[in-house]
Amino acid sequence: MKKIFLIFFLYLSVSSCDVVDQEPIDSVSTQSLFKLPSDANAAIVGTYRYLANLGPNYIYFAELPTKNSKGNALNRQFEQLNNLIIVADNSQFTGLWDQQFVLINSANVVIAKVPGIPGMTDAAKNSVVAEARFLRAFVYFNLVRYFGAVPLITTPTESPDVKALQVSRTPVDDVYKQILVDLDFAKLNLPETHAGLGKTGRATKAAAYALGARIHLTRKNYPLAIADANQVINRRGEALSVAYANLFLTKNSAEAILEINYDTQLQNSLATTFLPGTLGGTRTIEVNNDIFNAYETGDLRKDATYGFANAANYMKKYSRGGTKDDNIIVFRLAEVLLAKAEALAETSYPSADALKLLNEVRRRAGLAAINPATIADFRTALYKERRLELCFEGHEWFDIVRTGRLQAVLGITDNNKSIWPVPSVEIARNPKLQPQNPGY
Amino acid sequence: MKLAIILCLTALLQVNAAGYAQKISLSVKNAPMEKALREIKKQVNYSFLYNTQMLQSAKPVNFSVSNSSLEEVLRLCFNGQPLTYSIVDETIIISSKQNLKSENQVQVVEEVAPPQEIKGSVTDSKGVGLPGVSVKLKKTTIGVTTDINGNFTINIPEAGTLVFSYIGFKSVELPSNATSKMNVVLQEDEQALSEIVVVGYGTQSKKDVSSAIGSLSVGSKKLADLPITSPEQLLQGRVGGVNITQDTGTPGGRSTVRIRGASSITGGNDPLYVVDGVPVNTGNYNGAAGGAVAQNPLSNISPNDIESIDILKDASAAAIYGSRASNGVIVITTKRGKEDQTKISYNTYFGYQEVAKRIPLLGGPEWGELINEANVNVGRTPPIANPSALTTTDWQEEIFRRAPIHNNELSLSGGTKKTQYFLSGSYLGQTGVVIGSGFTRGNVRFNFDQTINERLKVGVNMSMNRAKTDRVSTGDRDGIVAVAIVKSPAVPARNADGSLNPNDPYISNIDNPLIIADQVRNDAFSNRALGNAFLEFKILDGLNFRSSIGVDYLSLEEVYFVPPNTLTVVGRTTNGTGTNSMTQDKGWINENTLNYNKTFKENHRFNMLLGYSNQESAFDRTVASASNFALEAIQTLGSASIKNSTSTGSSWGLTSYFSRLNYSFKDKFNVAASYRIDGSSRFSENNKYGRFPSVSAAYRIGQEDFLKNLTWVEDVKVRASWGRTGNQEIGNFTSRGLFGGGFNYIGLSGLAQTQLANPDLSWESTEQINLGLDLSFLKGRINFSIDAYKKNTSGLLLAVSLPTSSGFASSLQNVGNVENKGIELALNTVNIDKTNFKWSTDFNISFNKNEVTNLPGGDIPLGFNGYASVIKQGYPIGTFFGWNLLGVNPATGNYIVQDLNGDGNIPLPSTTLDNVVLGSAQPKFTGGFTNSVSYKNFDASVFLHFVYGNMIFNQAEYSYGRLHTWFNSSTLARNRWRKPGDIATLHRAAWGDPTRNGSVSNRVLQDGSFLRVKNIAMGYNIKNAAMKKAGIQNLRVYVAGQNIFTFTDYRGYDPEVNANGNDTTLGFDMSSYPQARSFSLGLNATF
Repeated sequence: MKKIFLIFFLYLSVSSCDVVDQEPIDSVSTQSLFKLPSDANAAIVGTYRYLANLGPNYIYFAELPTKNSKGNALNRQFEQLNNLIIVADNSQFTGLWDQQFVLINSANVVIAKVPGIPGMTDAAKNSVVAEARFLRAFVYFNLVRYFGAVPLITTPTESPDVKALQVSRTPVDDVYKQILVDLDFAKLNLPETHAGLGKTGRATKAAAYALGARIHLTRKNYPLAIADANQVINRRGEALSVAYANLFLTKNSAEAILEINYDTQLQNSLATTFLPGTLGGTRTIEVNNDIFNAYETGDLRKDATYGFANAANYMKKYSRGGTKDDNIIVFRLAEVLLAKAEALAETSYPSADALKLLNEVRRRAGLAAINPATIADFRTALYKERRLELCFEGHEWFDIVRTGRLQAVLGITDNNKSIWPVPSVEIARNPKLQPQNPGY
Repeated sequence: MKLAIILCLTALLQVNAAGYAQKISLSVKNAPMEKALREIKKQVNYSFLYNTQMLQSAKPVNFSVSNSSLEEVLRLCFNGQPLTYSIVDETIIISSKQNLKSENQVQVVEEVAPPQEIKGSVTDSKGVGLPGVSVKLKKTTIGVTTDINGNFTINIPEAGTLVFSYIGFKSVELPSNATSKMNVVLQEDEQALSEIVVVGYGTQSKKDVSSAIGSLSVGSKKLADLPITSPEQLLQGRVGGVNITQDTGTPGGRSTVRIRGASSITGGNDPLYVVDGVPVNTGNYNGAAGGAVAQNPLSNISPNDIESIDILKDASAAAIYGSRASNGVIVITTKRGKEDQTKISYNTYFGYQEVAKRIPLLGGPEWGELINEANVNVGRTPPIANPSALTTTDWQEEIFRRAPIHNNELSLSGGTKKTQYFLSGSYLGQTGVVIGSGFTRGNVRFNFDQTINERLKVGVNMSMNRAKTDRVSTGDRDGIVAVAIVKSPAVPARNADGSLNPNDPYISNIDNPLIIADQVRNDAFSNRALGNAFLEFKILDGLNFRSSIGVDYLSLEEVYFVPPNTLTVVGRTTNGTGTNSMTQDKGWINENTLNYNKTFKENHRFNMLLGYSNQESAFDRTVASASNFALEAIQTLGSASIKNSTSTGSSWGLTSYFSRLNYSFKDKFNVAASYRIDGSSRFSENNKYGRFPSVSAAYRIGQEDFLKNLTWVEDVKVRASWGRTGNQEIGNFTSRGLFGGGFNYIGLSGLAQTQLANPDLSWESTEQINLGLDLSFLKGRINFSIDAYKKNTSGLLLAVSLPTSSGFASSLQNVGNVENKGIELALNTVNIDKTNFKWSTDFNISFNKNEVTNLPGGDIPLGFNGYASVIKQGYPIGTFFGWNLLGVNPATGNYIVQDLNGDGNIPLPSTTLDNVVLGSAQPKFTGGFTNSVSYKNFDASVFLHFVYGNMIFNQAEYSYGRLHTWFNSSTLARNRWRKPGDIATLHRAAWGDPTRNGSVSNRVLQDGSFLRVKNIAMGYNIKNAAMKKAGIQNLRVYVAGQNIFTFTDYRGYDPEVNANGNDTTLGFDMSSYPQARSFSLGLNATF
């Protein structure tokens, strides 16, 4: 009996020497990754996940400082944006900044590591890298429009060395150069289509050209904007065949070029934010009467966009209050048509082609064709059409800034206010970002 | 009469002490007789029999002897004294010289005393008969034991001294008395119980202790009578240097336990708990749903089972536990069976609890005015047409209730010389004072010791239990308490037909708290098996090997369900939501120690310990959640259409080598040193093994002659220690560069970089010095201890902020230092010690000053909204940070905020740059004060607990006091600014608060000092013959009250709160579940 005990204890003592060697079971160490082609896919999917994470802010920030929306006191940070009280310590800016850069690092990992994976064809590697570079371009384009000059980082972060990670700002033009280099690579190497949900849920050549059209329009580089828009139109045609309401009721409609796809495993806050309590939301962002009253009689888009509950309107492009999985349409054909129309008109007006495209958007909305006499009239009509067509899809603020209407529309006289302050928290972490953007 | 007998004896037995060979060395100068006799007693195996009054007539004695015989010493001692002595067996009987002469005649009468039968009974101080007491005629083998009622009958050949002895009681020697029944009262020997303290991997005699160890004898203080549900609460206010804050009043909830302050910012500050030698896992295991308050893993241990709790406070005591000892170690020892004492004990109490305080809230009409004003102030139309017509619902009255609590515990203990056992079972049922909450626990324990032969002993300690917690969420919108405060009073709780009203016309996403309680299921079931098996093998005399295998298995099952109906926000938006979570933590430990005890040349005592241990713990969790349910009746997740599941896991292991040497010289000098090496899976590849040394020394000045001569001084001891300990609570794989899964998109699985590698990451290291002084006066009736310590923690594990442009917000690195220094005082006095009346007082007070002494990365903002709490160099952990309000601008109703960044607060004060340090959540001092009295069969105690000098962030006031939305407010809102020109103390009401009046500022910080009558307990021991016949040895009834009064200026429910349960955001009251006041009635019966 005694001996059995002793042997038993001795056995345990000897057999347990390796307790200090433990391995994580829910993570892998960095060294053991990027050995297989499937690692490349997993890494790019992870980058898209960050796109999905930043999606809601992509919508909110383009709408909150405009007359499309109105706050309702539930979110004080939103309330400040809504009242155009722009302060560097609004924690919403911190979130906005972080979301873009965490995606950039994830994209940088793909861009740096995937080319080294053995057993993968160059074409396959380039396709994945092209997606990462598309996403990096998309996000840097957001960043320069939000914050102006920002740190341009194109290599993955590997060590927590604070000094090395404090990167200075790169001038806006240089950031655009990198954006366009990335975009060129993407245009060349992205596939025409992906399988399954990836068809509209992931970047394709069409998405790259749609992004190009948007960037060039912002940069007022109209020939390039027209060229990129044409690349999209060549692939998708010029007709808007999907009923306006169905763009939102149906996910990944025929008109969609890139939609951030959500599902019950990956939900977002959009429906909650816009819907009233009776439909499962908080209506943190209310509808401003300024846009509600801007629709012409008979505009089919009005009923497709708004509902009414508890004595107030609500915005219903994101209507899935139960499942909270409304998609975000990043690019769709109507925007590309309007971008081309604007570029054509800005190049020379009158332009029959520009009018044709504008009226195609109006036709789908159930409205009669128009024929503005002057470029000024055309601009008024086009801006209004863009606003009503693309409201709550992440455009309004940038359209106002891009077209120089800050004072006219929002009464902002200080042009410095066309970009926002770098979050004060980030400046504290990285003093090289000083000085703060002028005006803040 | 007694005296006469003694004198008879002295005359009868003429004994020559010269025949006894014991030698004495002693030097006394001008010492009182009594003191000299006690010193003699220490050196020889003799008892003294004398009358104290008689000794008062004695002159001081002066002599110095070395290696002299007892006779010689006694002769010197009694030289010239009005006293004489005689030696009977091993008893020295002292008598007055006068009496001796006159009583000589009596001797003749008694000389022929026949064999006699002596009858009597033995009871404890409460008059309860003691069975099994040994009654022996001194110097003979004649002896009996008392029967079950404490009665005895002994036949002795002639009159003599009877010795009554019983474990745990002071022995009594009395002359036999044949003429009447002898009623002997044995006093409990509390000294004997407390003389042993439990240290790491062993025990130590208290007099030898050279480090700072606090002890609490739970059993003898009747602490388990109090309606306390978790063992750590027993310590609150009773042990110096241990600050315990019950986080919230949630049944089964956690406490924040800090030994000598918090030394870590992110690494955890909970002490290591060791239960019967098994270090237990005490992490936060909350997995699922509902913002529920953290489970308390210690609530699995029934306070009834605990014999004693020892707290290893300084580094030299704790360093034997190495890399887990930085926060101190709490050693819990459970009850064990005793030889020849079969005892069945039943303990029960029942009582009720209630919330003592209500927050004064606005009624419907006043609320309506406030809402309208808030809208008008920002140019909106007033939404409420006629505020004066609104009704008032008192939501607090709706959610609080008077709730019962009851506890039943039955134990059986006993044993033979070779086998001892303790078996207990208990059941606790606690209904919460907030509707929808409660806690029940069933507990079984089995402790067993078996001596197999003179070399080998084996044993088992095992406890198993299951607890169920009905939880309530603490969220702002779904937490019952929070909602009861903020919900509009104008909303009726019930519809006209009596059903609960789910509608709120004002704010649609706040539920009716009654509906939350009624509809939402949020249960946690925890199971725990904790115990070990051990063997002890005597290799040689003094050399023992011990090996043990311990297990700590914990599982937590959480069930959350919101039925698919329109009554709740979640129910109607998700059409029902359910979450089931299963968490397990499986720990095992193997410890092997060699212990060597040896005394050389009488004066040199050595104790050596060598040990080796291996420990491993693996954690896993599976969470399944679903929404869109078909029926309210089917809660299983299979019936829902949207399903999500996830699982996770982690593990750690620790290999340790440890040693300790204790050396004692002449019982005057004690030196101890320990050294431990820990290898941990948590440590990085460059720092795999940590080394933790300690030394300590004590000098018992009281044993020196110059103090021995003072009768009023019992003992004086000075202590000093130094040691280094570690904190390995740095997360399991924090040093690795990692990619994690779950970054999925469109149904594809994705990976992303989750952690940057830091191959130099190390444990946090704490060095502590401790100086202590123990004084004992008047035969131990006054005991005073003071300890001063300084604790420096370096290599603080901090989330160093990285520029987020890197894709990472922070990285854990070893930077920064924290210092704790403090003083602990304890004073225990026995004020009155009469046979029928006893009064004793225990007082302790602890001062601790905590300071972050070095923080290279700059301030770390934390806490509510990221700004309310800050880690800042030169300030303590738990520093509140926010705006300093200078007043309310009479023109605008906005606050005037101290402007630090020089921008004139245009457009608004900055929430990052205009913050100042507003106060600290760390108390300046804490302590407790206990008075215990006993009078005949009646006993009572009053325990006061106090905390002074800390601030509390009152989140409820932060939230509702912002006056910006539909929330109701406290009556403080009456002080608000209303119109230009008003001189007000509170800002204007403003819808949406666009001018930031509601931000974190000293508006919501309040003094958290309090003095609380923590408990009052009164008991009565019932004695009567019928009971004894029924076999009841002891019957005690008692009443106890907990949290009876609290004196405080704090405006929230209770100043004892730490809602976040951690140190970095210390002192937050997040509309927490209030502490309950309770009253209970209980009964102890021993058979």
